[in-house]
Amino acid sequence: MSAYRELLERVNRITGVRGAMVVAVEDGLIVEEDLMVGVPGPAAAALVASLFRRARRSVQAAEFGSASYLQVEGGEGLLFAAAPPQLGDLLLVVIAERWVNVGLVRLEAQKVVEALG
Amino acid sequence: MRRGDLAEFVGALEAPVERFVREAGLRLVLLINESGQVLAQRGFARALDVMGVAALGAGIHASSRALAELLGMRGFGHLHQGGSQAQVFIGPFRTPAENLIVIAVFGEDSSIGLVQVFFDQFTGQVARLPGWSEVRPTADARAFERDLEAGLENLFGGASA
Repeated sequence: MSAYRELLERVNRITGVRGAMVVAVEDGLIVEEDLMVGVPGPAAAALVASLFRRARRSVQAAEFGSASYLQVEGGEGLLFAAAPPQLGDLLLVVIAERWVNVGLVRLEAQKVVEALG
Repeated sequence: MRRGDLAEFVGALEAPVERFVREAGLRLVLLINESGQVLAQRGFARALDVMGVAALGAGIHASSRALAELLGMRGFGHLHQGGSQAQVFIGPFRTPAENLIVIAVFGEDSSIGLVQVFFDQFTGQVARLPGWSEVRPTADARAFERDLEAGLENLFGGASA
């Protein structure tokens, strides 16, 4: 099992998470995924990576340093992306129900990413 | 595709091509058939550039398909050439009417992931268009060059190049 797979499985254990992916920021392509059936992985990966690239540019333009988290809430779900330095040019993308405990997702992601580094 | 068909069927491609360009963030896009006939384009200013890119793209597609066949495959899904300033995507796809090839150029505003996602949507839209969702007789050899010219005239009017 790859280290990324372990990361995704731990995030997926959180109640309300429908899937997680490791995505290349620049390409918008999935490196590793663990998604529930019916979750449109490639489209979500490409679009979240695109959003993150723009968010990163906005943060840099405002001279706020580097963007590390992005969260988008929809009517029926939530997209969460994290770009910790340990993942290099990769994003951790989490797709979850709207009522998921985002703090717990962030905490778990941070713990696993630190373990990877 | 014959000269008489061209305006009607190429006109139907306008909206899907426009949407593909906008949603995938493309700089240039060219839609050709396997004969190299140009069916739609966005971003090119001169017919000469279109002809060059169409010829090269059709050649790359033919070469890659030959390579795939050597490896025991029917063909590749698409080709992607990365670069620091621009990237090229060549995506063949089938419609009931004929096989088509998209040649797309994009920069740092887009990504190969985005282009793949919207390419899949684009191919589905084209395959459902009137004229593209049914089998048509292909052009014969005598009409081939005339139809290539017709494609360029349709896109650029009489003042090509």
